[in-house]
Amino acid sequence: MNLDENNAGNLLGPLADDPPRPSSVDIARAMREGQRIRRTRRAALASGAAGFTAIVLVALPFGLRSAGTDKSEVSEKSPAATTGAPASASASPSTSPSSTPTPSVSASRAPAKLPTQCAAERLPVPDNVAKSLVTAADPAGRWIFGRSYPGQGATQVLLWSDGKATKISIPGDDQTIEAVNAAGVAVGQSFVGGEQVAWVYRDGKATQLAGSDARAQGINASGTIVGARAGQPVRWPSAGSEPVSLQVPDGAKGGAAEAVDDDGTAVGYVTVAGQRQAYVWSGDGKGRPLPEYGEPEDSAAFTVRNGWATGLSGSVGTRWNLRTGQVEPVPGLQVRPSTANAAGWMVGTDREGRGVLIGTGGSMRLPDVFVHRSGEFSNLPTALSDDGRVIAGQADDADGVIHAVAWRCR
Amino acid sequence: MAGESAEYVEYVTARLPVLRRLAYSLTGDSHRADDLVQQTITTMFVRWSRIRQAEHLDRYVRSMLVNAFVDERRLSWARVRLFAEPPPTVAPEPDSVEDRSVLRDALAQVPRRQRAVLVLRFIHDLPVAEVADILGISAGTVKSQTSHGLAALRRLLGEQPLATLTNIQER
Repeated sequence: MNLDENNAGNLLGPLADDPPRPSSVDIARAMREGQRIRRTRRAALASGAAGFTAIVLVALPFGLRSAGTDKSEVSEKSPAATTGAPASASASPSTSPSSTPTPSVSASRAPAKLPTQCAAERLPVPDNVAKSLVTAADPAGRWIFGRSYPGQGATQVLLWSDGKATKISIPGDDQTIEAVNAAGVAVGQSFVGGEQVAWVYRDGKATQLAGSDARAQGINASGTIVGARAGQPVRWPSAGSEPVSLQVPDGAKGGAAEAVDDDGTAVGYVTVAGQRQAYVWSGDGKGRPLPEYGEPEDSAAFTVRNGWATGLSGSVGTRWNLRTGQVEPVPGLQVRPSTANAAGWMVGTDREGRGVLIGTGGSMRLPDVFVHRSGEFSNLPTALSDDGRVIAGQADDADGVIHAVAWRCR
Repeated sequence: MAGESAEYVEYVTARLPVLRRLAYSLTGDSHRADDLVQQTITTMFVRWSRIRQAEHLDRYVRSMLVNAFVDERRLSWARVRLFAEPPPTVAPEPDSVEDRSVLRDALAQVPRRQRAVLVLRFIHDLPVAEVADILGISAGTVKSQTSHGLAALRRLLGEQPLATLTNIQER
């Protein structure tokens, strides 16, 4: 078809219409939240501590070094999120046929107790690029992937391991790594010539996965990859295989697999009548809906590890125990937990914009990297190691610029 | 202060339809559009005492909304919202009256910054210089993002029946 600068206006112009649904914008709520943010900012400015921390961190030499000095706070109060759920189950089989065997941290080795202290650190970014974030980390906390934004819309994928940051070359635009296993094999996607392409990255090399219009979201210890192709959930049994469709129910328009557990169980969602339904697929590709919390219009699962899945039911953050089939709300977080580890511990952002680690029988507030702001994701942990000792994510500095960060805990 | 708040309410109420239309053309989804507007007007309230003095207030606010959409910080934000993904592209029927929805779905798959450039230039008819101004990029970058964005759209729409698309042009 012919679509160029001359006729694009004719073609796209009709899209300037009103949203079909009535407005849900709430001016009073904007004022209330705005008022709260103003107050928090004034308080942060008055204390001055936040700005000082930022300066100290910036001055740190290149390298993964503990820098945070803030005292972490441990609360003994058991959040509802963790009651009635087993702390951990038997370790999943970790027979990895991978060429680079890495001792994976099994659930049985995960400590029963939450860490008591965490130190925050900025992850080093090559070329002094201002904006960066973490997009994935492996269950052992050894490989952390992210990206930086060198400007002009470009993105640079980064790998942090052994205390060093490495620039990773993946063809296309808007490249991102979405998941990495304990052997350091990572998957992700980019746009090449306007089309989304899925990649597997190992030993310094990116290889395209089979199938066009594809994205890869998860990889497990044995190298099974899941994602979506042409809007349908798929699994690549290995990096060299063709994508295999995962079952969707009758009437579903499609869906996506967002993560895969070491036993081959995948989670994600299917789209029925324009709404997502959280879904789980067993290793043989057969699917079933995940229970929802309440009666939400929309639900989806985004992560799974050792039988613990996390996601959303409506606007409520949710954790599923795939062994028992239980669903439970995770209160106290902004929107939802980012992920759960093999022990079912979770990380997320609390309503004050602080990072939080939620474990069995308690939770722990992570020290601010720069500042925290009510109602914002000022500190957003996105990855959590099985032993709970390595947490990675992103944090806003005082100017609202995002930085890739890690919390080292003990 | 009370006067400022009243002024804020008055301004936002009046501009709401325009902001929602812009947000909807960027996000392609009512819910996400309203999320974006809600976020923008919250930030507006926080900074209202300064914003209200802006020389071109409407332009300033439009720029806030577009940048909130493009800003990478929303990458993580978008992931956690109710509609983390654009609705899957629906294969159009040849005689479909759903042209706009086909286009909207295709547009929703164009990378964010390119999408913003296309939306501002071709849906909201803004000149290159103004688009550059809003996004804080050079006019040259607007042009190259336009051509990348159009290439992406061509790719996405490539398999659609041509008739469906020419119908729109004749409207």
